[in-house]
Amino acid sequence: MRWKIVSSLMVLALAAALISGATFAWFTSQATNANNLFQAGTLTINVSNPNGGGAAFNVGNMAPGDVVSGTLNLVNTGSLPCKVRARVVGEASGLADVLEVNFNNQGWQPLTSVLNTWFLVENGNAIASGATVSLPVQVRMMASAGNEHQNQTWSGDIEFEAIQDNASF
Amino acid sequence: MRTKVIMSLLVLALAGALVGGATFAYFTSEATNSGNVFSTGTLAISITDPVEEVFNVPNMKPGDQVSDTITIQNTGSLNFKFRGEVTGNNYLAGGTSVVPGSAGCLSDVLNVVVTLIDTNGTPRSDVIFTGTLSQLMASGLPAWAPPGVTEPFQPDWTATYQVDITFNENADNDYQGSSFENGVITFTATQWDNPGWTE
Repeated sequence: MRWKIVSSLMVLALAAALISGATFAWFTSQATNANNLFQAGTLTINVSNPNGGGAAFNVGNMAPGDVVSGTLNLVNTGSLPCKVRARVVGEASGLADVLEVNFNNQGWQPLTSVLNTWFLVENGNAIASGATVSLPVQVRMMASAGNEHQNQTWSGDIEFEAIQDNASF
Repeated sequence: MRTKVIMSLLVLALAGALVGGATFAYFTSEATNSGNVFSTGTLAISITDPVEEVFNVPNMKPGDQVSDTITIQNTGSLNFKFRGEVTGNNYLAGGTSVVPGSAGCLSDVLNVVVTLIDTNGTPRSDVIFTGTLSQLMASGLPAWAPPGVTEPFQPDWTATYQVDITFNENADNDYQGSSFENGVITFTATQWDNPGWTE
């Protein structure tokens, strides 16, 4: 009998809890601020040879004293301003010993002395989104080159690297 | 015999009482307390500033920082407490939806600091949140009462929060062109004595 009372009380308590759970309400209010946006920009560059083709130079049958000229167009194709540096990479022997390069009108230098050395495009100044920078490049074969350089080939790449304008290389 | 007498007396007394009930009169007086009213208060929270979105920041790059403030006011008649919540959607550069924890999810690399800088015209500097935007979305903002404050946010009071957001410098190219869009900041208030809601 005592147990029956206890369980009846429990059932009642449960029922009460259910009812209050369903009916509890407190005043609330909401305020919202919508349409917030954060968007990362893009940092991309593209280098092209205005004369068509991939490489700026494809020179066969050179002889001592020959000078060839080309131009590379560097375009900031991203949405952010950027700083760019460039370098020439390739083997530092063979024909490279008798090639000189004049990159961006900075003066003639032995190719072997500029290989793998970064230089700053536009003196390291920011290049605006959408802007194009033309980079004249000249290469010549030293007049002093001897017969040991006959029938030699040198190939190399010009690498460009861009970073956001507030960072340092 | 003795019992009978007592019974008769009782009956008489009862009858007398009945008669007396009909004729008794006492001086009385009435006083009225009229015009009692019960009306409910209003519980209303408003973002008074800014009216437009707090942040609209295109073309960000790692290291960029933006700051702005947001002001809350108790525009009702009741004391309350409130908290904030942030929702929004992350997209990769190509428009693909992405969730926190995935490469290129911008809210993972936006570091947020929320500072309570003013209540009711009194300057203060309580940092109430530090973490990424993703973490803020997950945890919500414990807005009022800030730690150490035991009083409710009262009618007409204002609270101004400064929100500083920094694009993590360690974010790599995965985040180029990514975006966090449709960001919604919601403040929800409830009456101060609502026990089902702890701050």
